[in-house]
Amino acid sequence: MVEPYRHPATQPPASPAKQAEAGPGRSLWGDAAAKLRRDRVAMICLAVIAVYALVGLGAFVYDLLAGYGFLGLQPFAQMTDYRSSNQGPSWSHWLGTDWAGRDVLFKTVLGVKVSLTVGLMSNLIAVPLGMLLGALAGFYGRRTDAVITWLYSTLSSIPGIILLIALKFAFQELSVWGLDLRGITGVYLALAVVSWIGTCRLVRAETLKLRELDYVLAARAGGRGGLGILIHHIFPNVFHLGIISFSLGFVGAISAEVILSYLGLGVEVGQTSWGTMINSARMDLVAGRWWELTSAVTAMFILVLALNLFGDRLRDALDPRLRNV
Amino acid sequence: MNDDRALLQVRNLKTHFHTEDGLVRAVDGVNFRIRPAECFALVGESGCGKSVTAFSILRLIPCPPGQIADGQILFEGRDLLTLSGSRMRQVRGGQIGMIFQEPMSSLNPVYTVGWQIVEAIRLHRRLGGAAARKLAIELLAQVGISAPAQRIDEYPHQLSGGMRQRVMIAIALAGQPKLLIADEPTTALDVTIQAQILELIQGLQRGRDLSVMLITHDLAVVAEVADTVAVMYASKLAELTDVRRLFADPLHPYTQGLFRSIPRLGQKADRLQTIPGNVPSPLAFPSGCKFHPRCPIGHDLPRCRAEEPWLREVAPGHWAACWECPGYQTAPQTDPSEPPSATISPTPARDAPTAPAPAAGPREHA
Repeated sequence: MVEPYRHPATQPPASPAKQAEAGPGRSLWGDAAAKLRRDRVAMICLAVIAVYALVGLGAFVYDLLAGYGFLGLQPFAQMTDYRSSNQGPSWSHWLGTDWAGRDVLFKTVLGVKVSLTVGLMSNLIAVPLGMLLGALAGFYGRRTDAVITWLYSTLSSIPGIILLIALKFAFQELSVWGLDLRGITGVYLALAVVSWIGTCRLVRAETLKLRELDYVLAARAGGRGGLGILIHHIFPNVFHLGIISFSLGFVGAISAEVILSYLGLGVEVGQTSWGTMINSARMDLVAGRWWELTSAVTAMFILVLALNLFGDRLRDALDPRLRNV
Repeated sequence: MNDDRALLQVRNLKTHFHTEDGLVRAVDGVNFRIRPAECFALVGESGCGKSVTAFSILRLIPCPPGQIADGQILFEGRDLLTLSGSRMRQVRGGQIGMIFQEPMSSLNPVYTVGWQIVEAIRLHRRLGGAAARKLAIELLAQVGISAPAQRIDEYPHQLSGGMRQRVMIAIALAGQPKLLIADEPTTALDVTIQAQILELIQGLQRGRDLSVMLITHDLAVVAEVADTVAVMYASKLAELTDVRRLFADPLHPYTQGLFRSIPRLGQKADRLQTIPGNVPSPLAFPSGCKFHPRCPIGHDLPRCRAEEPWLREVAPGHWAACWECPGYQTAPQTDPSEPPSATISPTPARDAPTAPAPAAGPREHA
């Protein structure tokens, strides 16, 4: 695939197909995607993430079917077999079994689903919210900016993890509009409340910069109103920040869920996640049962590494310095 | 250029900025008029207020620090300063188009050129998508872009600076403006492209009956394209006349200084002549005539130091603001934003509603 380097002067004439590629309609998004496609590390990370996504989807389907007892599947919590509890890795249980004799590999796979949904859901709330408020604050300034800045400054003056725990504690007793906030839904919300701030700051700063740019002025001079400029000229130009926030926020959400579950504030009782696995391994480790902790941590390590690397590469591909060329 | 009606009249415009260091009078009482289909050049150094004048006309002054403190801006007899926000948006890009200094950053990088022209067209005209696109291709062809049907789908970063400026002009023309404000349109371009863009602007001005307000600091550009020239110094007009007269017989010492500082062919000079001193800060303008500390004539004269001169019509059609220029003391203090009194109705009173109106010519129905 990779062609050897040739000096431009000795380059053979480009094939018509290549000329068409370099010709009309080369959007910045297309450029970024092409750059990302050429990046091997990014592609490997993306493949890893895709595998996780597939596994998570499988776990999701399993949970759904088992919940209704389809196909004779039973929920993981009921798969107890105390005769084979706390066994080390073997051919029948590749990663051993937990205290109730359940397969640790299966437990880890179910944890993928929890982690991915937490990452997805919390960011689906936080990133659009942060982008909207950031753009409003940066674009309209004055009182709008004052209110939004006050809001996020106040929130961010509380250490993130404390706020997260406090919110989750508060949600323990809460059920809003039929939404049960005790379990994982509460985790989504608490995480969203904590993590929109970063996106908002980023987008606000970028909007402040964009607002003064010539093309915004030109749009104004061409008769565009404020809202039109916000929608057509500000949002498309801060959208890449949303994507980057999303990819990095995903990692934060996954680790935060693990911490919350470890503290017993994450998933509902009886549900499994990597956090509860690590939590239950506290006692195991002393007894020399390392497999449960190891599988949870390794699964998390690989996912977080892939997401982080991919987020970095994504940011490089969407680099604003290249966007203005 | 015998058409003495006014398309745009700027009367006693005062634009101030309330900064932390104090009040900045960026434009402090400016009067001029732009006739239909003429090219009006506003010349001055950086910071003299020429861009602020242009932005004031479109009311694009950022409002918390800036404020149009006084004056009238009559466009076809209608005061733009009293229009509602939505009416003003129709004027921007509609009757008045504007292009900017930096073509590299005046286009939105995430949209194709065509999208941006079509946006401008559809903001001001009732046209369907296909018709607007067709018109956009036509506009691109009019501003001299080759293969417009292909170029329309390109993104700004695929175009050169000169091409982008052409696209900017196409966008400015999308609303069929009667006045095009060009804020240093060639400053960021290299010299050969400058000439092409100027030629294009001049061609459009003649071909479309378009008035152009050209803001520049480049006297060569002025000589090339302008019909009427206003020289601005320290927030006020120093001199205002047609281009031939200005180049043949500059009256204000500042204008004279500007001309002396241009290198001439065939003239041996180790150093170019300069105007001594610096442009005064708008926070601390000198007393009297703002030019007097740098003026070769007036720097010691008590009158120049104490009293500020106003524009007076020292010769028919030639205004200057200098106590010492010939004929100033006896010249009538006519308003350069008004058509000459001989050609209009017998009551040239300042606030006579009928006086500025006749601009509603046949172009309105075009």
